[in-house]
Amino acid sequence: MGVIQQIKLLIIGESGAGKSSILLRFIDDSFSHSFITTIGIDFKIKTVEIDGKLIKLQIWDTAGQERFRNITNAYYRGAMGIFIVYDVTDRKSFESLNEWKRNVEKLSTKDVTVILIGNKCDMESDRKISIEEGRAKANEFNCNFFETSSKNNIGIEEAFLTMAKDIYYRTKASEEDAIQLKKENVITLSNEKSTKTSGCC
Amino acid sequence: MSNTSKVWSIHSNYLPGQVLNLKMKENWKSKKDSTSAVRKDSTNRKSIENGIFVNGTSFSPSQSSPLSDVTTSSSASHQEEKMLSDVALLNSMSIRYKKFQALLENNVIDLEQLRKLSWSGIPEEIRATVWKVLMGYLPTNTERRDATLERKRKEYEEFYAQTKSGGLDESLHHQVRILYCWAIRHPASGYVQDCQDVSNVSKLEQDTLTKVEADSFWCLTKLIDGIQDNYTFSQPGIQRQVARLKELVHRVDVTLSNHLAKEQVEFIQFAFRWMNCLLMREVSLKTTIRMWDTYMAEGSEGFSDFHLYVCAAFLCKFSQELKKKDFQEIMIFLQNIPTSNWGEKEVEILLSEGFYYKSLFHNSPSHLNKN
Repeated sequence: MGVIQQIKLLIIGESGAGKSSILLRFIDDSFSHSFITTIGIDFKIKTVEIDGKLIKLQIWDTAGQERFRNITNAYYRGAMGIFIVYDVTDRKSFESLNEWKRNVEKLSTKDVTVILIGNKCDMESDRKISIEEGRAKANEFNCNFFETSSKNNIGIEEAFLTMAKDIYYRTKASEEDAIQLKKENVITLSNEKSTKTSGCC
Repeated sequence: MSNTSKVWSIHSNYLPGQVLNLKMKENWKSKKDSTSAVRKDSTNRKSIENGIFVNGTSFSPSQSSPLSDVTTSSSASHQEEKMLSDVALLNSMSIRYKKFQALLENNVIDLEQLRKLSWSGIPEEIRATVWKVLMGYLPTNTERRDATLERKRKEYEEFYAQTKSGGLDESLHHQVRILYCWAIRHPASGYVQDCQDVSNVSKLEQDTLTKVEADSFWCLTKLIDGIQDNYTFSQPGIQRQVARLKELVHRVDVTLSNHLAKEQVEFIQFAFRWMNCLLMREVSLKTTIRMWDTYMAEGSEGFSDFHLYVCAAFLCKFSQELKKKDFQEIMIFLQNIPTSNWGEKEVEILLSEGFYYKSLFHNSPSHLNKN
């Protein structure tokens, strides 16, 4: 069974929100307490199965720091799905979400799938953003929402699979549409041709 | 034997430079009088705990001469063979060390000579001092040293006072503190090479700590001076370096360059970090420190121009592997380049290759122009 599709994903959000940790959990099923800031951009791949089909996820992990925007902005265009990540224990990371969303609208393709992630949900005593507040933001963005914990492995697999499925079905549907459209075009063309021919004679 | 091996195990906790140093003494002392070796070593240990070793002055060349005793009386037993090779290593280290020591003892240090010598690596025990001289922080004229240091440290103290009143950028100041804490946690770095862990440092006097902080600040400033536009808005220095690297690789390894282009690998995707972090994410800290010996010996352009040539050599080193890979495999490979088993030899080859490229292409910019 070969890989039938490749999906490009992007992870964005404030520095320290836990973007790289989420990816590390999803790829390696591991967690590290040390904070190593991402420089520019990192790259990982993982193959998942949807409806018995193998889908290769190509995931770009970006640096959250403002000074790397120049580099990271270049990666929005090719992304089919974007995770916007905030830290539930850090209000600043939540308040910057609108800016991240604006960036998505400005830089990525129109039909990109967005998922909002509230990370570090294991740190209940430090929580500043309630799950309701997170949900409300996701409604505002009109996107799916997950609370996750890289440390305790909560919600991460689901978030990635939801993303992959959404893109898989969406592209499959549009491909079918395209095939349908092509067929119709062929018919129209041949019709045209026949009328023309007849007209000519 | 039981006595000496006990001493050895105690000291095996310390850093390589220190261990070898003590082991050498132990080897010849044990031939004569093992108890005195224990005494000698425990004095050393005490002084380490007292933080006297900060600049590493324990390596006295006179201690190495009795090594010849061991050499002549050795038989062919396995253990002694091992010991002999250790002795040979120690001897060459000792000779190197003596050369540095002789240079540093002059009233006016010959900077040109010091550069030449440092290019091939600086002994750990005196690295902190040599780096400060090479960076131009410590005056080559020994008479002016104390006054300069005192002035610079006072200047820093004034900065510090301003910080408290909100004058200097507070985050910058914190960063220095953070960098210093980081240095403590990575014991191979200059100042704290003999401190095994943070607890040892806490024994340092507050006064010493302030001095170390001031020196760190000034040395960092000197280092960043040369690569400042790497870290200004939109990082033009890095953008330029990455573009130059791309051209350079096209010159020295056109098949690799073409393969990367064919696979649509952009240099910015991997080399941005190489420039931003000076390859520190790609090699071990020990390797980085050795590389910096050479960078500093290269003078003011070591961290900019010379680093570029080293990066080219670094990429081309993996040319064969890279050429067999597609886009994804290349990206994965370049994010986890197999350098964990690198030792002194590998770093030195890399630096030599960098030097080779530099001599070919530096000051001949037209060699770099694509036709």
